[in-house]
Amino acid sequence: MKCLPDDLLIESYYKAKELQLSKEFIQLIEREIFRRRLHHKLKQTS
Amino acid sequence: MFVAIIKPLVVNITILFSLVFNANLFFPFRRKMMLTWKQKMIYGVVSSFTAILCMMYPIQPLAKTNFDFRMLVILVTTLYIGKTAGLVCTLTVVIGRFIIGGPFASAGITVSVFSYIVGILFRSSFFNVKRKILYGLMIVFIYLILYVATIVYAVPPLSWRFYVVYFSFFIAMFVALIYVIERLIRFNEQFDDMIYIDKLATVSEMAASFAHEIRNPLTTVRGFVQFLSQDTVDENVKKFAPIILEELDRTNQIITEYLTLAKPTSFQRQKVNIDDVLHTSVHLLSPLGTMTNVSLQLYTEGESDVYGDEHYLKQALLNVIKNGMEAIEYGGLVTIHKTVDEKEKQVIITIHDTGKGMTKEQLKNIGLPYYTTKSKGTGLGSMITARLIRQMGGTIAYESRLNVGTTVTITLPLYEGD
Repeated sequence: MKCLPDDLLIESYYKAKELQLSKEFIQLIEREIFRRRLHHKLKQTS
Repeated sequence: MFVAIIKPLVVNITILFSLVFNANLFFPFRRKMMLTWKQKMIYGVVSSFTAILCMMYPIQPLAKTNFDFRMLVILVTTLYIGKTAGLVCTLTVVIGRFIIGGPFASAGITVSVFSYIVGILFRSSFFNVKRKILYGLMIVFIYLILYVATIVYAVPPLSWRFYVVYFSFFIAMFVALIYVIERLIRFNEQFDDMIYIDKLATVSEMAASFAHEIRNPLTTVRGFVQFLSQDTVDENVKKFAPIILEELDRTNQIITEYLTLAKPTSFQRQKVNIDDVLHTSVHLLSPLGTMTNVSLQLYTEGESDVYGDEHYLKQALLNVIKNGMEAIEYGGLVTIHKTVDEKEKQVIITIHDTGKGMTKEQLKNIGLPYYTTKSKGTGLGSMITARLIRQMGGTIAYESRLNVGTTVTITLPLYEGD
């Protein structure tokens, strides 16, 4: 998770939501996004 | 006169006690002793040595008789160690007594052989009886009848004072030996328990620190694999993804089991209706039983409450019953009995299966971390069960015969009012 580039992380977040993968997985990605302070990007795109 | 009797008696008593403690030092006494042939022989040699020492310090009020406590050695060895060790000891005593000789050698040999016979006769019942000291008293009285009969028949009467002192010491010494050995066995078992609990604690600590750390990357991997499998045109990925996911889930399950182990804090003991727990457990498992052709039967005797944690109690019982069901390969029966022991204030639950059973070796290792007899087991289930039952102040015991079945006996403390 930590070695994933930023854009790929965001992409996988949306994919995960789209494919309805497990909640735990989505939570993990969310946490990583917040850790990298990328959450503003989420708001921009959504 | 009196001192002349007491002195050798004291020497005999010292010899007996010191050898008991020494034997315990080298091979700690256990309730269920599974001795190798070599160990039996060593016990035999040690007891023979004791008996010879006893024979070297006899009481000799009349120079030609030879009264000592060698029969106690034979009796105790046969009762506690077994036939082989007892036989070695008896043979040594017989030879020794023969060499000492004198007009009463044959009587001396006869009483020694009698003690061995009495030991063999009462060995198995002595093993199973609970009140060892009382039963021991009975054994020694039966033996004394034979002993006295032999003396009356073969030896001219000695002073009655001597007989009183000798026989009362004889009985007291036998009881004392049983008492000491029983205490030693209890102490050894407590020591084993301590080692076991210590092992559990180590595993729990490890579990606490690792489980979470492993879970996160696992979830990531699982997520991406799932993600890949649904978002690809590659046939191979599609084909193998389910296997990867399945194995990941299994790993996850192991970790979840680990976490249960590491979480003793949320343990809340309260009044729990054991019958309800049993009924729900059987209900939960009966579909699995139908699938594997195993029928479950539950017999309960009255309604009773135990003092424990309902959630964990259920988990423990499910674990044991499921193990029983999994031990059955081609259909069979798992019977669960619940009885109440009012006197000991406990509920006894026995879970019996008609499965493949376990060897002695397997039985010994059950409950140890990572020990499993199942191809897909983790070796943690039984350990967690044992731990949970212990935490509720209960006990769990396994009995098994290969290809016949296994019986698990769980005791739990009864709930005693508010």
